[in-house]
Amino acid sequence: MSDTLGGYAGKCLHLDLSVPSGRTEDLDPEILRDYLGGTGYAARILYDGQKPGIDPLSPEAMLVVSTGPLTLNAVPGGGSVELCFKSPLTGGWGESRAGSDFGPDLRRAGFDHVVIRGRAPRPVYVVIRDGKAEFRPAEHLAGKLVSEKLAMIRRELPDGRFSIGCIGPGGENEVAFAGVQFGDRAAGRAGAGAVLGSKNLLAIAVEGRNEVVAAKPAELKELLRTYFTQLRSNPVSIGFHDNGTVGDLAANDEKGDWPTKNWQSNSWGKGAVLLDSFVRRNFIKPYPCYRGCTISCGRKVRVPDGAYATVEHGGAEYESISCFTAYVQNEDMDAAVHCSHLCNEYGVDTISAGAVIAFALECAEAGSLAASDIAGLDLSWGNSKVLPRLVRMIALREGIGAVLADGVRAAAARIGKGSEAFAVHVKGLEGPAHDPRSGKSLAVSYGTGNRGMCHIHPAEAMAWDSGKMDWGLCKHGLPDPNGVDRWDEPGKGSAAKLIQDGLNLPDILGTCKFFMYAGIGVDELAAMLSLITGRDIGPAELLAVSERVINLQRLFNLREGFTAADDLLPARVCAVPSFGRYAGTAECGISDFPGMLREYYEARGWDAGTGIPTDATLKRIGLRR
Amino acid sequence: MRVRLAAMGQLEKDFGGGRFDFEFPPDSTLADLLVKIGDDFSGRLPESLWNRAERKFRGAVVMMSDGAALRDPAQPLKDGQEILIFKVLVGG
Repeated sequence: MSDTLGGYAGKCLHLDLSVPSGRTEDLDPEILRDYLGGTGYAARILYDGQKPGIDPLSPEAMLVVSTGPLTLNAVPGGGSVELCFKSPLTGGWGESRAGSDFGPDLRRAGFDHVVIRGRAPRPVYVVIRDGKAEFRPAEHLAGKLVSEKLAMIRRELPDGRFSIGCIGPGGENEVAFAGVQFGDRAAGRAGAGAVLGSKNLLAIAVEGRNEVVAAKPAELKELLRTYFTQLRSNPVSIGFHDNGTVGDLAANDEKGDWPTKNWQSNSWGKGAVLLDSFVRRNFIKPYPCYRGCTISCGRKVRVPDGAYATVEHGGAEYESISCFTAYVQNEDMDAAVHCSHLCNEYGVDTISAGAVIAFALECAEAGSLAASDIAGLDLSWGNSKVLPRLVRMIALREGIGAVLADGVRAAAARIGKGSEAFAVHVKGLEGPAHDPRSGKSLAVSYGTGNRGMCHIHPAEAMAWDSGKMDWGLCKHGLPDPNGVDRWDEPGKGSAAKLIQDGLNLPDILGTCKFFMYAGIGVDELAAMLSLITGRDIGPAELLAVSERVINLQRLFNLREGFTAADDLLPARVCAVPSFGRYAGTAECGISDFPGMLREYYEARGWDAGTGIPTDATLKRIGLRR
Repeated sequence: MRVRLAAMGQLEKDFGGGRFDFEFPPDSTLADLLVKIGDDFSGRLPESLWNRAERKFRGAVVMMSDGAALRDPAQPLKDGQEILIFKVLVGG
């Protein structure tokens, strides 16, 4: 493989935990040409290799650990790893990313992808090192928190510099939104941790010494020098470094981009106070999630004392903090920082955990939960004390936690009594902490995102119409955001299509999306990719690959039974907020979502009624079913 | 000495203009500029951007000059210096 295309390790490792055994195969040149890598290559593997309709927690289910051709420590954002699988939370396409050295180290160990299937009879972990895989017993790790597992594995691997991905008790208990932790960073969304837990695979450790070589190393080095010089003086890059993602709390609250009280409003008015509290009491310093990151958006934080005292750790991201403050009306930042850390220790997604707790609070308020269901818990809005207890109950599937552990869609189906109205999700994935009532292109991206209601896979589109960001896409047809009203609806469907195609690229190429915000746009990605692979790949071809990947993942979902009805938003997300800064502001409500969806389908070349890619579209984009 | 403040992008609306020139005595620092911003703009700037009590920007605001971030309030100002202020919603 490396004879024809540079920039790849060239191998895929297949692990069957039932046997257990491992085998390697060369990457497929045709798939590489059409899908490049990351979530694209993995989509082809899963679409071709996994039967539709299977239980995502069954032995035959597959999980693909993926990297892309830009997954290199030297590349801006190249410390990246993607997990692709059928989601136990949604029943559809699942992908989840983490920033980490794990991706580059996997390629140094000789593999671009690892395909995992089967189920080990007893808990194991896998050590991948320099082209070989070794299964090790892991019964002694069972039930341990993530930090405990990581410390124990590191003691057992004293030689070498291993990167480790591991699950927590949430994954072992098959919590539908359990994630995989890469140190302090989480591939949190959509339940990859439950898939690994169902396979009795508790961790993967990788180490390698063979650098993936670029086809044109000298020219690449020169280009990277230029990019890093630009990044040093880019305001977005500086903003990420200085403020982290959590720095947006106050501004998002003001813009109506802060879902509040289980989405009853899009603002709360407490963002500034909470941010000040965080900076004063919890923040320690910025840190990078992989060797070589120049942005360092990560925050080292702690709770120094009190009821929520928490050791120094990397965490407290914007999403996590929002879900444990505004979602649940908690005004105690210490409690939010603590809960974010607890989720990572137990290996459950902070967004879904906060969302499902907000759902439970509303169910309790509405009387949908019987006293026997909640066993003496005070599920009042703003009761910070109950939050950590609920996180543990979810991760361990105890009491009401066992119901909440399957996500809001399943919980509402089980609880009934009108609770369906409180379950804010698309395709089963709980909504994150950005509100499409701040910028309506996000509404379309929420509805049509293949993994469900997600802001970042593929795109937080409100950053365009509300935030006036363009990611270098204007030269590829995206209207200038400065001429766009954030609350207008016409034009948002077609724009969302192009934004998704552009912002999906880091997941295919194996980089961090945040660098696209800081000036590493489609043209820059194409330039790096061309020098790394040795094949001239222009931005138009890159966007075409991304469109192909989005369509293939769409076909995956359709094959699993999803329909156009699954692209609709919950009514609450479209409604004019009932309180807060935008209460009664009619323009902020989403009045014609089906109209925006029709426009999006047309831009994609999907059938206007069914949302199925037409034969002509599949032919145009070179996609086989 | 004269220092120019340039409010970039969406901040132009918050400041009520894009360019502002200020006179400072020699040896003035970034802290002095922040005091001036507080005096002149405190009433206009939204709470999400400006901490009135502590006279400093909040969260999503970045100050830059000559391509470098300005972080230290003790940093001296220079005659003819242009200081750019960006509102940066970083996402995530």
